[in-house]
Amino acid sequence: MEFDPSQPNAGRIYDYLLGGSHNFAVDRMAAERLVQMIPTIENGARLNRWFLDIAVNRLADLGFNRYLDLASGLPTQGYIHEIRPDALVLYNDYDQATVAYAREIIGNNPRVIYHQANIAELESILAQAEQHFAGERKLAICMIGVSYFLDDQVLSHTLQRLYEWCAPGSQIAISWIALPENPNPKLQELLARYRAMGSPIYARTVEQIKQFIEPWTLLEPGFQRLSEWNEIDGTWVIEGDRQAGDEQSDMYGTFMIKG
Amino acid sequence: MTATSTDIYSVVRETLRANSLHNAGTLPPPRLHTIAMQIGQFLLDEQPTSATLMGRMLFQQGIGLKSLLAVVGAVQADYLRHGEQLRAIESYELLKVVIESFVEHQIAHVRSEHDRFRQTVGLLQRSLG
Repeated sequence: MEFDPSQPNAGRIYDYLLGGSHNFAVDRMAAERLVQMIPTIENGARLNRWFLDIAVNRLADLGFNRYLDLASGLPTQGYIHEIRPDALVLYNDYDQATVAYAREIIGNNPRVIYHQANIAELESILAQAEQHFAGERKLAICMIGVSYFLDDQVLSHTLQRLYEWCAPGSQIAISWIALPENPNPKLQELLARYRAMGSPIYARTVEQIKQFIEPWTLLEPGFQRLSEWNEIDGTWVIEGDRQAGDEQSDMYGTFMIKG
Repeated sequence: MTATSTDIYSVVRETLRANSLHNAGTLPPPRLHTIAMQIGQFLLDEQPTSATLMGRMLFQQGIGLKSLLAVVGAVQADYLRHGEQLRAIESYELLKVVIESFVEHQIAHVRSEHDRFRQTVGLLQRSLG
């Protein structure tokens, strides 16, 4: 396994964007370059992390105590086991260095497991969930900051398979990026930059996103902007990226249930 | 005209809300009204909680330094707008201690996290040969 602290790491870059200290100079430099290219990336990271906090507390208030978190990154800056120390949590990520470091951060906590797997290898994650949650399949699932990095096939399969596997009453919290069908040049440039970094963003309209949700049932308040969940005036502030008259281009958070 | 507790609370709350994106990932904006009430109470108390403790608490709750500095400026401006120069000076002295304590805890936290980070990286490198 490779662990090279002289190379920037996605998990540590994200930690830096959130104001954390679990990063090296090389990560901070890479993050600053990203911010130069995509000035809204810090705001987007915060809105996502705050939505995670809102989601975990909302689900906990409903009695959920078992959390399956997909594509977790580094569990710092207010992650699930910090928000709800009494909960059973299963994290996962595909990146070996992120997983190894995350395990060290979590330490010896039998309630929290960090599993290494790509989200496309869902069966491996579900097998780990079966074990960690001792066969209990009524779960709270979090996919925050993930859906727009998954292509249609993986996203569709993931949501379908989770629905089949979970017990009725399970809930899933997801954040989305909705983009116009015909992005303006600035937005096209932004998408191209993500592709160049090896992390393409899959642009979907709200209507297209809704097709992925079935058979999950969308809960109130439906598709709500992350800025509204976070009680921030205005939108995600994609300066110049919004098309005139396009009111749906933004980040959204939803809750869905298996009825 | 005298600034009321409602005035100060509103000033602090609106300033915190306007600066919410400067706060940590651990502090969702819906929690800011509670913090605004704590700061407002702190400013209006005859015998306020220790300013040092307030600085530590604000740091631990995830307030960003930019947010805190914005609150200091907004509170001063509000007192001066109401012709309360003395309260403006008193609150400035109080908030100066809060900021010093905040920064001390921030520095200590970053040092501690960096030490922990280095230790963890060292452990990882050893375990991976």
